Amino acid sequence: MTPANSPVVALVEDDTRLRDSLVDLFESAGYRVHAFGRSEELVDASLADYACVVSDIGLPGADGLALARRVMSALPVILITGRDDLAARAGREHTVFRKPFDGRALIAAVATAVRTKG
Amino acid sequence: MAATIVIATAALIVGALAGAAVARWRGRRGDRAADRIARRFVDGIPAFGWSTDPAGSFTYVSAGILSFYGVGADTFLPARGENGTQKAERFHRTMIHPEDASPRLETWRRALATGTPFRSDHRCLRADGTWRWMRTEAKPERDADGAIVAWHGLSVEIDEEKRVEAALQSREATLQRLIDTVPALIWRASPEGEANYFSGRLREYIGVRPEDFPAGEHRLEISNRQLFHPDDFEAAHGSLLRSLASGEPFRERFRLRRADGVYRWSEHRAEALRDEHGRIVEWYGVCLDIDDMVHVQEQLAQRERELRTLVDTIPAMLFSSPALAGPFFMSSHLIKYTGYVPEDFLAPGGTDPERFRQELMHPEDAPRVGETYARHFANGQPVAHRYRLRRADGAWRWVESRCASLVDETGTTIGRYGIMIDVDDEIQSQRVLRDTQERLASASQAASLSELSASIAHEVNQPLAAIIANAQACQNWLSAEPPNIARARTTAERVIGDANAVVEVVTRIRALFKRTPEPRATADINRLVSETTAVLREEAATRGLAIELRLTPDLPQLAIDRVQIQQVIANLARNGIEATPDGVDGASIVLETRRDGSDLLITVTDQGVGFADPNRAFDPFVTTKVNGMGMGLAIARSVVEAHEGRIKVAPTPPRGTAVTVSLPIEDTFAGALT
Repeated sequence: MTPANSPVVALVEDDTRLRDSLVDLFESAGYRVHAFGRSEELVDASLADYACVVSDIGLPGADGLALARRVMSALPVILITGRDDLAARAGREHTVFRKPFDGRALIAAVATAVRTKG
Repeated sequence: MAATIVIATAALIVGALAGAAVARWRGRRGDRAADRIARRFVDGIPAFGWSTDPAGSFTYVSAGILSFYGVGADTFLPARGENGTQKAERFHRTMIHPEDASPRLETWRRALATGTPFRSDHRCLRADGTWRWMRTEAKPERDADGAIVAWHGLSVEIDEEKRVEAALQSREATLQRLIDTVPALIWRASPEGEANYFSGRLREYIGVRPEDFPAGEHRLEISNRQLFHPDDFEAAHGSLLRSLASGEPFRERFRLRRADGVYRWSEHRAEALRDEHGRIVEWYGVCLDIDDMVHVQEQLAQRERELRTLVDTIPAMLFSSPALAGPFFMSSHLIKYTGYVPEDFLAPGGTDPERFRQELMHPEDAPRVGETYARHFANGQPVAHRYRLRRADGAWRWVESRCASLVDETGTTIGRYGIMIDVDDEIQSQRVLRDTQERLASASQAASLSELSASIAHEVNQPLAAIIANAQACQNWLSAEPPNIARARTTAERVIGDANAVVEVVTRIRALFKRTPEPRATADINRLVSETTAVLREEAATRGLAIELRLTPDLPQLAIDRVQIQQVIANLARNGIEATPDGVDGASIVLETRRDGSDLLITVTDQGVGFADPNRAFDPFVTTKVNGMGMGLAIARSVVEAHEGRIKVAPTPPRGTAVTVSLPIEDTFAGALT
């Protein structure tokens, strides 16, 4: 089971299927995960609880890029998207994974981010 | 006068031959035989001779006089105690017509007093009791000293002449009345054209008499200048001079100056009267005041000019045809356009419309136009149609033609009137527009294809990413110390679920695109909506949603690709279901059908979160769905547009979205052209 003191990854993904899979992936890598369907659910007050944010770019309401701009000063952000144009745009400032992505590479990026944050 | 000549001759004979005999008879002496001869002579001439003394007492009356009056010689002799003058008065009272007696007696007395010759016409009472006209002339006989010694007179019966004269006067008066009554202005002129008679009406009309014009060389020109309008003078006067020179009848229309100074149009005619040698004796002329008529004609001509200008100015081609016979009318635009004139269509008894159809109407259009006209002839309703008309340059051009009948109060058709407008440019531009629309539609379909592939990629990538993440997680669970078999199993199960999701996406895409396009068939949209939503009710129910149908009955059938439209309806309904967040229990998806003009509308309304920007609704990556599955609106749009319809997304405050598909009920444009 995931240790109670392991870092917490904040996951924002509106597709429930992919969200469940990513939660499983991060937990299998030893992280705890807080998953959200919308970026607005990730409130500023709780940012300190997380080691990093992994967010889909295409979201209902405020999208992943807006979220990244809001939290990047406090937390490392990893973005995922299915769209080439969004990936290119976000790639200038953020770590972006193009769906479908290599799970090991994503875990490695999260590990790097958690270390940076640490 | 013939009577005068007779009397003069008789007087001459009396003076020359009978003078001596009478003198002798008066003296009652001399040769009795000679006296008898003279008396016989005097009594034999067809006139009545008589003599008086200087005082007027008869000294001799011829036998003819006695016979005429039926009296004896004593009748002419003074009665006892009666002098010559008294006798003369008595004679006049008894023998002369009462109306003539006094003037004659007066003249006779004056002649006796002055010695001037006596002359008188008067009626005398003949023996048979009738009044007969008699003309008497008498002269005094003087002696060497000039003293009157006797009066010798001769009386001639002039009753016949008087009657002829009276009849002539009566005829002349009748003629004069005729001339003055006829409502025309009559004149007479010399062979040189100088007027010598104006009828009363003419005198009154122009206010002058022939004698008012100064005599002289230029009398005709001066008088005409005075009477003719200055603008008409040259032509009219010239024409008159030519007629006078040639003897040909004169006929002119010009303005004549009326007495009040007003010039009025008048019609003039004159002809020459010739003698037996063909020489012109006189000119007789008549003129009629036609001013009112001329003004009416001018007004009519003006009206006609205005109408003609109107017809020729408006940018359309006009035509008319009489109901029974008579020529076809074509406005100048139509004549110029077709290169034909109305006479080209003349046929015995009127116009031959068949020739118009054969030569100017496109063979493919002629039968259709013929049918339209046949209906028009039957029911009298106005017609409007489009057909190709051959222009003068041989080009076939589309025209729009409208025609209506004019009917009189008895319902009889008087004529047909029509208008034609060249609409070829309009039709060509419509055709270009249609071609452009078609090209745009295929371009749009191509664009939709790229949108579609992006959409499919998105739909597949999502579960694929999940599968890969699951596979990695599964490996992680198994690689752990100790391996977490339970989690690995759960994860592996999720792999299967996600892989099935990919299969579902592929299956759904295949369902939509595996078919080749099929011919469109008429379909009842309400039935299509009912059938399509039936299979979605269960899916909706699992999410606590109801599907509500609001179908307008008796909608027209549509020619559509049934399966494609069914897919659109299903996708929109599924989008609505999926856009509604979980937990909005009791919410419903509403499908509504209704008619809006020439369109049939299908609206799907949900109570989902709605689009932030409805204009981006067709972007393949924009979705409101909690679970991003389902085909994009882009696909629905490509199907609807292939049906020449439109699809529109609008928010329904406070929450939800309405997607409306409008499909044209019929292709009226195509129908109008063919």
